[in-house]
Amino acid sequence: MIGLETGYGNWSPIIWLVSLIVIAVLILFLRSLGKKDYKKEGGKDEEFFSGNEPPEEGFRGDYWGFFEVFERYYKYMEKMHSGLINDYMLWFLVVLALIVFALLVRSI
Amino acid sequence: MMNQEEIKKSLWVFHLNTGSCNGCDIEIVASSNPRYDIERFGTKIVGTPRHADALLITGPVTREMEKKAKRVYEQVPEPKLVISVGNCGNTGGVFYESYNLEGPIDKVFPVDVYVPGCPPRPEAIIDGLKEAWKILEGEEDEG
Repeated sequence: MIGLETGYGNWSPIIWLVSLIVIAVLILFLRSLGKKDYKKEGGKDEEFFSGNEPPEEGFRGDYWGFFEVFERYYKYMEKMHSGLINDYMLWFLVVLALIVFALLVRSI
Repeated sequence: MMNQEEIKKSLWVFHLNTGSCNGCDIEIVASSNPRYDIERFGTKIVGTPRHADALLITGPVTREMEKKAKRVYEQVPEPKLVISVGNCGNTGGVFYESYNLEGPIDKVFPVDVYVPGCPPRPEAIIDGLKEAWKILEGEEDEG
């Protein structure tokens, strides 16, 4: 059988493929049970906002109040999350260095 | 009373207060507690109208709540039912012909089941749910 024995377990692309097919068939089956005559009119596909009209700009789901209050914090955090792996590795190294430093100071 | 074996599908309801004094709302909460336990019939109070089969509406529909109530009603997928719980929702009750009312509920959208009482007891609410369930099951059988 095609696969990879790592000593801790095995990984087989066939099992993955079969699992994905089974999951896809299940999803399609459940989807086919849905109502065929479902209509989206009348705000049915809009976010539920306690009966209020959802704000057009800046609406971020049920946690909008949370985001609103922590907006400054999130904007600050978003700057750090640039999406570049180099930046993340730099963060990782800096945090690792700090931890090692803290452990060294403690052991002295 | 129906047997539990007769229940093929569960009726999920969304509870909406349109200006009630909270008396009916407390009875709805009481109907879901372990003493009355509507969940044994498969009825669940859900957190969004998009998951509901029926609306459980209390209150006489105040002017401020009319637009919101209509939006919530629109967000319930078809086939849907409206259960009016309590005298205020059914007729306006003590607020009948008040300057601040757009209701009672059947003036705003169609009501399928009326549960009378001020407030109705949990047994009456369960009976109303049963009637709603029967209407929906009937529609399923026909269509």
